[in-house]
Formats: sequence, C-alpha cells, structure tokens
Amino acid sequence: MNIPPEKISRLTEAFRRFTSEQTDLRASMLATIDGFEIASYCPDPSFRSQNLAAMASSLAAISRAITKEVAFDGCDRMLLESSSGRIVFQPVQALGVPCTICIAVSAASLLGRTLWALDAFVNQLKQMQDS
Amino acid sequence: MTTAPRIVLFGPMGIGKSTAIRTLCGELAVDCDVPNLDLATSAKATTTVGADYGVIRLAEGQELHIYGSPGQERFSFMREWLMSFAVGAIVLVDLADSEATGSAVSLIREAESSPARPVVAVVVARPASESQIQTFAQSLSSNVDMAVPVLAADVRDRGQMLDVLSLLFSMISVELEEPVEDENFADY
Repeated sequence: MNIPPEKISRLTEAFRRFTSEQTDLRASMLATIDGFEIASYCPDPSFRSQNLAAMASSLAAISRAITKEVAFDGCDRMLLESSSGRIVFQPVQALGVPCTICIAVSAASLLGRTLWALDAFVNQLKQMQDS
Repeated sequence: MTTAPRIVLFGPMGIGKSTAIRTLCGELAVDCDVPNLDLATSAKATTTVGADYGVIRLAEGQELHIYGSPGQERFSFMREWLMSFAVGAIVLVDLADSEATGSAVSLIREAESSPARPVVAVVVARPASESQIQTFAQSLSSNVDMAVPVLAADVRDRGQMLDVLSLLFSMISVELEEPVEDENFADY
C-alpha cells in the first residue's frame, strides 16, 4: 500500500479518537478503496481485520455498481441489519486517499445516533488538511 | 425457471480477466474496478475488488453469465463464492510468471473441492511458444493427476475468447453426459 506513513499515522489517530468516543461499538474498520486496512478496532481476539478490510471494499464496489445500474447518483452509505446489530459502510475521501469506513454496533444502539456520529467523523476526515 | 450457465474467470491480478469480460460482453459488462493503491505489487491503475459481471446473449434467446474474480489473495472469499455456483471456470495464466503452474494447480484443486465442481480450462493469456505451452500443460496434468485443456488466447480477441467458451461448453456437456444446447458461438 503506497500511502505515506505520515498520512497513515494521522488517519489512524483520528480513527482511534472516533472509536474511543463510541458506545455499543462491536467492531470498526478504516480501509482503502482497494481493500487494505488502515486502522481497525475490535475487542474480539478472533476478529480478522484484514478480511473485513477486503470485504468492505468489495461491498462498497458492488454497491456503487448497483447504484449505477439503477441510475442513482453514487452510493453514500450502506446498512446491513442483523438480529445481533447493524453494520454501516460509508465511503470517504481522507487526506486524498479513497477509503471505506465500516462500523458494527450492537442491537441496543440507536441507529440515528450511530449515523450522526459516523457523518461527523466522515466530515472531520474530509476537513483534515492534506499537507 | 432455468438459470443461465455461469462461467467464472480466475487468475492473478492484471492477467486480463476484466478485459476478457469486456471483450465478450461489451457494454453489458458491469465492473467493480477501483483505483489500485498497491503500486508496489502492480503498476495497474485500477483493480477489481468485487466481481466483474457480463452477459452473453446466444442464439435462440439463451444467455451465458460471465463473472470475473478479483486476483489478489485478500479477496479469496469472493473467489470461493464465485466458485460455489460456477459450472465452468477459466483460469488465465502468464507463462512468464514463475508461479503460473502453482497458482493454476491451486485453482484447479479449489474447483475440484468446490460444491459446484466447475469444469476447468486454462488459458495462456500472454504470448508463449508452442513448446512452452506444451511443457506447462504436461506439468499441470502431472500435478493435478488429470488432463486439463490448455489453450492460448488473446483476451482482447472476441473470436478467440468465444472459441475458449465453446471448448468449455463441450467439456461441460461431457461432464453432464447429456448434450448442452448446441451453442453456436461463431454466430454470435
């Protein structure tokens, strides 16, 4: 992955701050558009972050293909619902790097609050100055 | 409702799977290409991270569904999913790649152990001499303990790719022990 270490470091730090502020978070991932992990969080030791990074990028690509197929203007977000909780995928451009964010929250979480927090983080990433 | 036969293209990144699907399906193709940020591995500008998909419309209203699998190992879950519903698999190789035999053997074994057990044909997608192709084919057969058809084709040439599909369907026909509808790929 040819992204300067300084950018990785800044993105990782921003991601860690975001995850530390969330409640009901089961897992989260910041991955490049082509499926490499930049940063991840999951308290479960069996979590395979590299797999989730690749899957998140595949899902994001397929979502874009679907929206193109129905002549929608891009894919802003994708939501998976399960009896165990929800997983939200959202594309973002961060420091000039096209990425996908994925967060998994418990069933007890409030969807609105999750989406609001994710939007705020995405906006924060967009505003980070690319030096 | 009968489902259209599904053929999946496998092979390493940059071998020409997406190109092959565009060659065969033209504007019917759907691609899941994104910018390639891993330039250390490949200088390609884009890479497939989902599954390329296209439809070939055959004579008498029949269809053939073609899929392209991402080549990188981190997308092995996509490869397994695609393998699980394929009736035929085309493995693209470059004989200049030192890992061509190993990766082809691995994909053939994966096809054998897949629930769908797709029929496999190997396509040498980069220029190679007849003797190189023969040597590769013999090495492949001895490694997988069965004869696997190996043919050369330019993925940008529609006629050649249709010939590959024609061969694959002949093999599928034999596997099923009943004739598949006589698909005249030459007319398409």
